[in-house]
Amino acid sequence: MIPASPGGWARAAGLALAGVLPFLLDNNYVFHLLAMSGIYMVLAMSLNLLIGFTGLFSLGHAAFYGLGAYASALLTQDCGLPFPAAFALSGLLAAAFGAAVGFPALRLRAIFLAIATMGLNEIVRLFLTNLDGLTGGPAGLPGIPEPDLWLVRLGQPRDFYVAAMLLAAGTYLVLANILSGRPGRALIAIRDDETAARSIGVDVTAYKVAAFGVSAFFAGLAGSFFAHYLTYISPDSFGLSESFAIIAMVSLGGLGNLRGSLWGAFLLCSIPEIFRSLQDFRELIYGLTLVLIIRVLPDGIADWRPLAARWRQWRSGPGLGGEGGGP
Amino acid sequence: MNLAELRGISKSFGGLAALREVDMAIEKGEIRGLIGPNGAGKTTLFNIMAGNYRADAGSFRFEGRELLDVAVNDRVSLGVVRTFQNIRLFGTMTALDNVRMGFHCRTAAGWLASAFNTRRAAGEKAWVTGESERLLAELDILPYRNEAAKNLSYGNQRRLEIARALASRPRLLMLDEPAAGLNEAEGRQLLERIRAIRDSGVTVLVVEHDMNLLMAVSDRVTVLAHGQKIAEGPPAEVQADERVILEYLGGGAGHAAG
Ligand SMILES: Nc1ncnc2c1ncn2[C@@H]1O[C@H](COP(=O)(O)OP(=O)(O)OP(=O)(O)O)[C@@H](O)[C@H]1O
Ligand SMILES: [Mg+2]
Repeated sequence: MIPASPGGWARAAGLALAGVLPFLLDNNYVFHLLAMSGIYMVLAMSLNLLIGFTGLFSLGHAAFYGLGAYASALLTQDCGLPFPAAFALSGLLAAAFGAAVGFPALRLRAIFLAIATMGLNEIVRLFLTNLDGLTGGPAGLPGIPEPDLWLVRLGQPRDFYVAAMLLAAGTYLVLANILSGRPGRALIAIRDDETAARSIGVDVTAYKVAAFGVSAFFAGLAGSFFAHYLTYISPDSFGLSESFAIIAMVSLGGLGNLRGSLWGAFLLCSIPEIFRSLQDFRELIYGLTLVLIIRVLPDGIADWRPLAARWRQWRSGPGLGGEGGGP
Repeated sequence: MNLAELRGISKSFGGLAALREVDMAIEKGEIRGLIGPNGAGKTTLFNIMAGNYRADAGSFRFEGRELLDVAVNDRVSLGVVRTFQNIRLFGTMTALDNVRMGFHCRTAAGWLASAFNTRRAAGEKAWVTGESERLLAELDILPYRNEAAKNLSYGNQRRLEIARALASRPRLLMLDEPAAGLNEAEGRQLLERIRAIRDSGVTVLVVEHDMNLLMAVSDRVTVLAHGQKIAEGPPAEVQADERVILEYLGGGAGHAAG
């Protein structure tokens, strides 16, 4: 891809610089942080496809993430599949599961869809915890092989940093293409006005089911990558708190803002890590972020206009600000 | 030849009979006006023809094919396309993207082709963009192509909704009060536009409260009152019909001035 404008070149240069910077630091911890950021970028972007672009409040994204992770671990450990095959298959399995779940869930109104997907997340976690024979139960699955990509074998955090960024970049390109193309526009149309979308020829159900499938596909890939990176997984990594963390990232970056999801994931991964003392408050930070964003910056950190408006209103003093606009 | 034939269409909401055994045949190439006092059932008939509501009884044959069991989105591909009385645009999308949505049923790019922006998908996209701009220009709203639809003026939103409907290349275009909220000049312009649309080969069914406009534009007029058809024929005949005069002038439904 060749940047089309000076701004494009500047961005490309900035990206290249940001990509090279970690090598100058050459610090395994930094590499690890960025590898995890990459995984969360994929998760946040794929969830944004559902809640931000299609208006489907799916609150159990970690279910698809966990499914991908366990599928990939079992496919390599028990079935002896090479990593690339297990990686692709876990994406496809998660997609099939997502579409199968999406189908009945779509009959539900927004609030019930939210509750149902949260329930699904718990069900998946309970299955992973209780199917001891298959999943290792609460103790999890250790000894997952590191990715062997025929030519290169990923082992060092540095390798995973590069691979995670490539995965995030690939996901971004694919989703950006979809969103600027015919299917993506149909999703946004459904979000804006379902009746109008149907009345201009959109098969709303089919698109919603497909959106669930595609979203789950990328979550599954992220899960697979995660499993083979840490080489150990347990059900705790895929509970509701994980889903909420991803939702917080999506909200921070802005619902319906794909690039924002990259920032949301990066920031919410790094902040608790950079301030090591905050580690124990990870979930609290995610919760607070979510509440603050919804209250203060409903369009995410990329759009400060609501905050600026508030500031002006506050400056102009009470009485002049009015009642805070109704419709 | 009849393009569309409705027979015995009935629809009730709870105890309220919104439509009772309505028959209507629309000829290919005509502009058909549909009038009636508030609550007569005009929009309900649109909803049934477009597939948004399910009829309790009756049949709707379109080009010889029964449509009542066909899904809304499939009717669009067959050429039955509507606009809404209360304008339904995709608010966050640009005007251009709204029209692009109209091409949805005429294009094919799927998830995979779009994901990798295949040459065919890219070609289709370029074609849709060009055609959409042509339609925006035709409706005099090209300057607003990059504005979010929700930020357009009322009149431009009405134009945009028509542009979006035309993009799907309807065979029967159903306009629900397209002149509502327009001023007189805009109304006249709309009248010309509806004629031009018909001349391009599209059959038009139009609901309108503005009597002058409707009588001027329609080849034939169907009158609904209380869910029943009470008159049908050329404008002059319908205007002279006793029952119509009673409904509109005597019945106290004083909104005919629009
Ligand atoms: N979804 C609905 N649920 C209940 N009643 C409805 C519904 N839609 C329409 N009705 C009722 O059916 C009757 C016909 O309504 P409809 O909207 O078809 O009238 P109309 O001829 O389009 O009127 P107007 O000129 O005001 O647009 C009205 O009494 C209306 O209240
Ligand atoms: Mg109406």
